[in-house]
Amino acid sequence: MKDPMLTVSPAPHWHIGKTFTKDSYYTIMALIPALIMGVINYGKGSLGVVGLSVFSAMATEALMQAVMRRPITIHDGNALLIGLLLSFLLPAGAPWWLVVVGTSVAMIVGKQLYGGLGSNPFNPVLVGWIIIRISWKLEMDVDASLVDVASVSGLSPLASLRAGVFELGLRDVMLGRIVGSVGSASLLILLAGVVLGALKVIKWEVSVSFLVGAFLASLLLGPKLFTELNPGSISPITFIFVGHIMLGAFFLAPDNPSSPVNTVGRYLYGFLAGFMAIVIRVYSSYPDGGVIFAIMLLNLSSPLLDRIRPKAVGKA
Amino acid sequence: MRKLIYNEAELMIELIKTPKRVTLLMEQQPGKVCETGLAVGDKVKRGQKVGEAPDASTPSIHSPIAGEVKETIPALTPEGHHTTAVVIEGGEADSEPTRGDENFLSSSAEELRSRLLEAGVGALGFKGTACFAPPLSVKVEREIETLIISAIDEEPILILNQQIVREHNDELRTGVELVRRVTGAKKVVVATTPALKPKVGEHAVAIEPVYPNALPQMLIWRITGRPVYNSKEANDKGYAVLSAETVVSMVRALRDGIPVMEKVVTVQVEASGPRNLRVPIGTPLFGVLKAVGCTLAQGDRVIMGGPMRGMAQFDPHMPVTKSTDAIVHQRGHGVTRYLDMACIGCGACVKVCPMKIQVDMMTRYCEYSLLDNAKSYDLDACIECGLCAFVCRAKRPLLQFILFAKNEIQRQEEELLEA
Ligand code: SF4
Ligand code: SF4
Repeated sequence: MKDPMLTVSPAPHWHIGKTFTKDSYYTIMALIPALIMGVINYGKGSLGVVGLSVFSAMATEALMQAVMRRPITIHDGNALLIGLLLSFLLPAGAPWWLVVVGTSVAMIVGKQLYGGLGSNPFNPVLVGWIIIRISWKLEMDVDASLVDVASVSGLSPLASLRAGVFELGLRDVMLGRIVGSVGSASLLILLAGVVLGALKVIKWEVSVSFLVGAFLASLLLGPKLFTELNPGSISPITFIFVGHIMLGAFFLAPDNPSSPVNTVGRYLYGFLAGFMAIVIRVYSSYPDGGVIFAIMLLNLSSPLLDRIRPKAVGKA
Repeated sequence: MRKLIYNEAELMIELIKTPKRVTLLMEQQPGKVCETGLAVGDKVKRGQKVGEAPDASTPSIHSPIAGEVKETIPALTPEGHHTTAVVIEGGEADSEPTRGDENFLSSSAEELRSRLLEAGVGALGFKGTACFAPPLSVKVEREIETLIISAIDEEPILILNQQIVREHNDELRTGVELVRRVTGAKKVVVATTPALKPKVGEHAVAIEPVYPNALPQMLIWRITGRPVYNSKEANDKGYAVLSAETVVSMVRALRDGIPVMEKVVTVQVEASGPRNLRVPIGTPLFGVLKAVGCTLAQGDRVIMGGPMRGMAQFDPHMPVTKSTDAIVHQRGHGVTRYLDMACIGCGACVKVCPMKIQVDMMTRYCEYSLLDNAKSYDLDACIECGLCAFVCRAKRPLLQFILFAKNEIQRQEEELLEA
């Protein structure tokens, strides 16, 4: 009898079963409640933005990989997640070309040109957002592009804070019943993040320290500055439920390749990013970009933070 | 993380039918390669010496069956080294007379060592671990401070040493004294699981039964408080590790005069629990698997050694050696596969590493043979437990990268020495 051919492979011959792909899909699933809330708040238009964003992220990735003659990996969930997260940052009324440009910049410049998954120093979502935000200020402005959505009215929380007319309750802010981007239901995002953090799908150290940093900063300077015009209108807590703080803490900052690997680095990274997010929000001319620019800056310093290494056992 | 817990069940050691044909590899344990004095056609008795090291430093090899030498052929060891194999096919049942000695403990250490050498006793079990054993056949150069007898199995699902403690308790207790005598160790302790501690007696130290605590480096670290990275360092510092099975085989060799001809192997076949078998050395893999009712199919994976550090074999005729602790069989569809993927920086490997190495960077350097950088990221501290690859979210073959780099470093050092 002929011997059967046996499989030969290196040790270990077991795997824990948790993979990056599974983690990506868990993250996507966790974002679904917030997505539904976005559709409820902003109507079917937001679904179009999300769908287009996801589709164009995956298509761009496939195209890029085909052009570069690399294996096509759109099934690993990463492109889907990038598309989804980017759409969460866009206004529901964003024009189609804006979405397409944003996602393709994210995929091409943010991910593939650096060598694909794992080699990107910046979170691709941020790269995509920053490019379109700086280039098309008006279309990215939630206040301008949501004027015809009936269920919400007024100004976005950050704009109204600057104008001194903020009068939203914590409840509305948490459920995203405000003028904002598709992923404004910060409470749902917080809950999703807590679940993922408890399951260790995301780097929970980053999320926790991010929130601590953001809270501390908003306690120190956030509302104080704004309430000069309209005293007592916003508490530090409400202040961190506004905008993309929750999305940043749980989904943007802990992005695997662009955040530190070692534990000490993670805490520092998260804390600084959270703190900076508020600082940029308060002082810069891009209040809505505080979280994004802060994380981008910390992405840049993440290799540096990773130089704080654990000492191997038995080494002096 | 889900922890890898050691198996602690009680599992009788079963005998299997003596095979008709055995293949005795001339390299079975760390040390010198043995040579055979036999030629094709020679008659062999059961227990007769088949192979012997040229300089009496490595234990001899004995035939577990009576028969006739069919051929001596070049062969590979399970680890992939080139060696010679002596193939013996069964004939009449004819045994060497055994020369036991009830009062062996009264002999001198010199005398005991030469008898152990004759009987083929050397460190049994996984080769990487066997390197931590003191040489039993020659006088130990460096005095041994602490000698650890490992009565706990190294990898999950393996359960042979614990069962040996249960079934050969008297021998083990005598063995502690014997080992002290032979090696001159100052202190002898028996590392075991909390459950087995009372059974072992006064020398026992309980070890938390979680992988990789029973690897030799970890045992030394847990028991003496001093971490060591490899067997050479352990040797320099005066630490040694021996498996309980080895100790029992020493006693059996001296007291009953039985040379080492069998190895206890935990056999785990896909979709059934593990079994402990006493396998004659030289039995081919498929023979062992057949004894537990498993036939190999296309694409299956057969691992010699545990699931974390064992070697997948391509040849179903590969014989069992003195280093074979386990045979693990996985059906083709359930085989885990590694991916050719970049590290995504999730940090799971860093968290799991018992030696606190920054594994993600270290293995990146290993992958591309940047050996100096790998060394600066603590490649030398790695104890090759494989946990990093076990948890890697990108399914990178991390342990393979590490072993490759270590091998490269060793090769370069050897080249330097030659030049
Ligand atoms: S094999 Fe991996 S986890 Fe184990 S000691 Fe080496 S680097 Fe650390
Ligand atoms: S577990 Fe794998 S993917 Fe994660 S940091 Fe380590 S090597 Fe990279």
